[in-house]
Amino acid sequence: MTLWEHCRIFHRAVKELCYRMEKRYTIAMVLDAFLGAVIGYVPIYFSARLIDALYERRPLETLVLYVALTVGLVFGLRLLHTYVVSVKQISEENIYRKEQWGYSEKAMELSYASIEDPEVDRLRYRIQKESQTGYNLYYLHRLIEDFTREFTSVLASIALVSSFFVLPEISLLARLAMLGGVFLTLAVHIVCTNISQKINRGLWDNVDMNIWGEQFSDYVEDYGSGKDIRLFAMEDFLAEEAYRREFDYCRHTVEISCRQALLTIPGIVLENVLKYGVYACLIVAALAGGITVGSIAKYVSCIMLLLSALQRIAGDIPLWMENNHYLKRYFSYFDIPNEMYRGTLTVEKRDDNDYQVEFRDVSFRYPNTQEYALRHVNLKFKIGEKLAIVGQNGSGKTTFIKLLCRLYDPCEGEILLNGVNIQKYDYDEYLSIFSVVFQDFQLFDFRLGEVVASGRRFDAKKVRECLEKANFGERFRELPRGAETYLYKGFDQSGLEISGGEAQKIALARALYRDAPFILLDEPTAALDPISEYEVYSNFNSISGDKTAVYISHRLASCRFCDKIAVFDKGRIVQVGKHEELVRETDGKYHELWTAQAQYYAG
Amino acid sequence: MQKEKQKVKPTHSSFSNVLWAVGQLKKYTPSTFVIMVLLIPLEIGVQYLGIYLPALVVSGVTAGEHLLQVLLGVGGTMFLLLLGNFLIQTLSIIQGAQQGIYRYEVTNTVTRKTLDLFYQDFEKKEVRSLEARATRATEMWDGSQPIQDIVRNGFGILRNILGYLIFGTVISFASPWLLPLLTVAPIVNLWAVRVYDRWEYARRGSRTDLERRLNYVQSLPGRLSAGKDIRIYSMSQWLREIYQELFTENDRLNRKLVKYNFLSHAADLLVILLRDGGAYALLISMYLRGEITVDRFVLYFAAISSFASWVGGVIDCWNRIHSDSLLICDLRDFIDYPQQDGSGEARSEDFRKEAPEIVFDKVSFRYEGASEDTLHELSFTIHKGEKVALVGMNGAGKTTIVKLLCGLYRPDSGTITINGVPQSAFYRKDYYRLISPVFQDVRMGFFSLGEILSGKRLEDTDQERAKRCLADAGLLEKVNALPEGLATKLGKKANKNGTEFSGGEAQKLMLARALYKDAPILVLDEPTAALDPIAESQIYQEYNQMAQNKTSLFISHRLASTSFCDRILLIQDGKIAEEGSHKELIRLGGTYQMLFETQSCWYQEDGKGSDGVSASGIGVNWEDADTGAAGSGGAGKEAV
Repeated sequence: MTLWEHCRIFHRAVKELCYRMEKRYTIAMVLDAFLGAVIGYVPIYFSARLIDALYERRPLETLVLYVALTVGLVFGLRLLHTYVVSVKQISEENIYRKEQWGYSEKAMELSYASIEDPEVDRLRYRIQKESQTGYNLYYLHRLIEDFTREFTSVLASIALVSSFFVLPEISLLARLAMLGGVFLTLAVHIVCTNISQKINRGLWDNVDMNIWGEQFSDYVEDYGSGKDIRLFAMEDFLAEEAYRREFDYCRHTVEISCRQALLTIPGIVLENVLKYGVYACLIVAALAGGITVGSIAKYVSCIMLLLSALQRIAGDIPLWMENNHYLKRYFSYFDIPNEMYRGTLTVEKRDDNDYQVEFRDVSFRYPNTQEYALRHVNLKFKIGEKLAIVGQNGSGKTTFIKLLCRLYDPCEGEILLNGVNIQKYDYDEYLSIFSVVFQDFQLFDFRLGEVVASGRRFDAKKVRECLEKANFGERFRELPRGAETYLYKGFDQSGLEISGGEAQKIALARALYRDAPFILLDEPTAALDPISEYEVYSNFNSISGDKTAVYISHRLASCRFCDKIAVFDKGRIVQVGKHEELVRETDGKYHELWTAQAQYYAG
Repeated sequence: MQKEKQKVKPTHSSFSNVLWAVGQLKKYTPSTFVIMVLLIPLEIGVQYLGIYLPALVVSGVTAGEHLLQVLLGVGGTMFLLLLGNFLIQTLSIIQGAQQGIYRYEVTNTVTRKTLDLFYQDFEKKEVRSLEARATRATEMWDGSQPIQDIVRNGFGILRNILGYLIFGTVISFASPWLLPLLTVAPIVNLWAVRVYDRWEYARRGSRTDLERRLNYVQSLPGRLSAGKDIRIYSMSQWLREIYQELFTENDRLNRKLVKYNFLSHAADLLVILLRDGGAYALLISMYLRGEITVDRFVLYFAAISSFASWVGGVIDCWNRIHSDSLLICDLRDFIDYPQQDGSGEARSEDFRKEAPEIVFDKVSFRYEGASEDTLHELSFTIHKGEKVALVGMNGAGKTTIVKLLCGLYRPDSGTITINGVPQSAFYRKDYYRLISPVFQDVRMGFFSLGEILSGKRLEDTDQERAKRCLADAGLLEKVNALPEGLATKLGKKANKNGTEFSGGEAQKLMLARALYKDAPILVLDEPTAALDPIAESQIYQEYNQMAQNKTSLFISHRLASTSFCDRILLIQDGKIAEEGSHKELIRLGGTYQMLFETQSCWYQEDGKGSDGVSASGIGVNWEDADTGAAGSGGAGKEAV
């Protein structure tokens, strides 16, 4: 990265992560650093004056004035500082919350293709772990804080120490030697820190360690893998694996630390030599009567503070550059565009619900894959039709649904709604004509009414009607708080625990509430027992009424109530027809699937 | 319910916890212990020299001593300072790194304990939260790390007491009045902070609840499976609104905290103001009266300014020890959590040669906190080499039976015997060697394929056997195509060169793993729920193959899959409701027949299935669903 790039990224980070995200915190942080640095110089300055005044036997009033000034100023500044720190500490939570919510916003804004893209998922996981390790936001703040504090220190030290360099009692040579000493010590410090950082770099990646550790403890603490661990006697293997990894890391750290400790020697020695030199100069000058007793301590403190401020700034620069590298990756995630073409046409809200959908020679390949998930698919269906889609795992059934409701766009061919390419419609409006119950549907742990309405506000009467229709009515009437009841316990701990079958019904009610002309169901019965499965089958038909319905299932049984069955095999539609026709084609795929299942029920 | 204010009594005292932690440190890294002891006098010495040095310079200059004398004095002190600083810095770096060893040893003890816990305990809520807190004690969180901190603070108390004594002695030279005054001041500060903490604590309840809600809302958009629903149902606005409401509420609470936090610290500052003002006044008056010289003034004042830190340090360290102590208690309690194990009279070796007989004799089991038994006096026998299927509705207790048979749970009453030997006669880990399970919930972890198959390190995996099992499960081709073969790691998140398996492949891998284990009892817990008909049919055949010469228990709610079993047990309400072969059960015309017809009516040619089931009997509105099974009804009624 060039210096220019570093600056650009840093500028963006400051703008987006400090200024826009939470101004209050940033301001408090800068003030905290500034005040923190300034406060230290007040007693340094005034105690010098006080000591001199004492030594020179000034009148009591002067002494009192100095004491009052020192104590009062320190008190006032500290009070201010304390307030700033309180504000900072407490708005700190906000900034981390906002950062986290940034991921959530991004997840909702990305196209679905990016959500399912494992590369994007890994990128997000990686930057989140990096942020947890301290990179990005935390280091950015720490750096800004450090720079503010140290620059303040440098300025204050220079202000107090400048008179030292114009003292006539100190020879030019000594002055130059002092200055040279400061820079030499600084240079040695920089070199040693660099070496010591190099020793450490590249051998261990803290982010990797964190990722591994998290995956490991997830595995060990999971109920499911808990069974595996015990029954497959994996305890020794796992313990050894963790032990080896962490112990290696530890031993390595100890080894490196010893070397790093040695590398601090030159710095410490030089620093003390410098300090002694300054003392010596000042003592000579003081004995000669050139400077006052009190100012000795003042000058020494200021020169040493100046040195340490410079050292810290120098030490922070590599971190600054390193963090910029991480920030680059961080922003690369937030810069992922949503590439879905978004048209502007409005979808006609037809009272007669007269819609027609056509797949015209549609082919689709998931990003970064070679094989087509769908190949030359042609299919037409009209309003009111009940279409079933069957096929083996990986035959393209779910992909078909995903294309239909524009979670993905086809690679070739087009999908038409009433003769118009669906990409030309306004995205949100187009989606609004579909009610979908996916196999892995999600019900959030909010109020039942909200869940059914998929929004903060809901029409309680309509919610009840939809739940009734979805066969949840009986249970619903038992709920004392009705639509205000929270589902599960994730959000509200008094929430209602429901079974998989009940969840299924609520998901169906949600689809009904939307009152969309198309209703799509993707394998809703896989995890249900026979009775619940049966209920879903029968209900589906009663509910979908005059709506267009697409039904995906492994259970061919469920196809029998559909007007039309499309059989998918390896991304193509191999058969279309009614159950009775298809089952008669004995060399067809449908027959094969049917027999595989029906054989068990033949007897 | 009566709300009783019960104070939780810690299982160990803070003092005992410090000793325990120091003991662990000494055990794992004795050198760190020595270093920490050495650091105490070093740090106090350096701090004293730090305030002594300016006084020395002042005295040298004001007393008009000879230049060389002053320079020597200052040089000598500085040399000591240099030495001290150097030692402190290097020793601290080394000690900091070495403490990592101690931390990892303790962490490892916790991990080991989690791994070795009896599964039934492992599932218990109370044990889970104990484990979570024990882990928390070993981890860095909000800038604290209890197991390291408690040691550090233990030594901190010693150091601060020593510092208090030494600096106190110096100050009492100035005036004996100062010592009690300076000791009281920090205690007032402490009191102010306490008041604030208590105030905050009282409001913490609503805050943690708010935090939990915020965390929950925040986690939703990132869920992979929620992505579809959020888009189709345009839920982002909904989530955003809830988040905003909670965030605002949280911020409002936080702003209130700022005020009180500030006030409690302002009180602190006021005390410092009085202390410093008072100390200055006293010292100046002493100087004016000629009782002390300028250099003494400098020394005493510096000593007074830093004196508070010793008293504060003692209190602070003690407070921290006290707050960490509860977590250390949890850590110790977890490590000492009683292990459940069998008597070890029987050895699995003697049972591995042939398929054993399994008998459940009046087995009852109740989940913790439940009001009813999940299984009540359940008895059944699986004969040698028999294949038995367990069927029943969700929640009938099938999974509980599996867990009992696997030895993951222990019955509350009754016994489970293997060839007449009770389960409890085996050591727990030894008993597990009898069982080859395939569970529905696949957790592959992020290890290499070989390690997953054998549950051992790759070096200890029998490569030949692994390949044979992969071949039997139909996965060898796939594995051979991977560049690293058996050493390929799963999961791309934790492993840069890792690979991912599809659901079907994962299922096959689980099968291969069960084959590798080759135990005499085979347990299959709904392994096909997510498979398509052809794959399902294949897997049944493989299981059938696999179950040769083994005693096997198979669970499914797909009744079709049970037809290769010798016998079917229908579980209802924790009891065996029906038992027999498929044909017998159909003939019986009971619940099994009803369930079977429910599933199979769809597969019958038209008309055949129509008399299968009574829809009204099972609470389904049947009239609208007549496309598939027209007019069914009536005959099944008596079945329900």
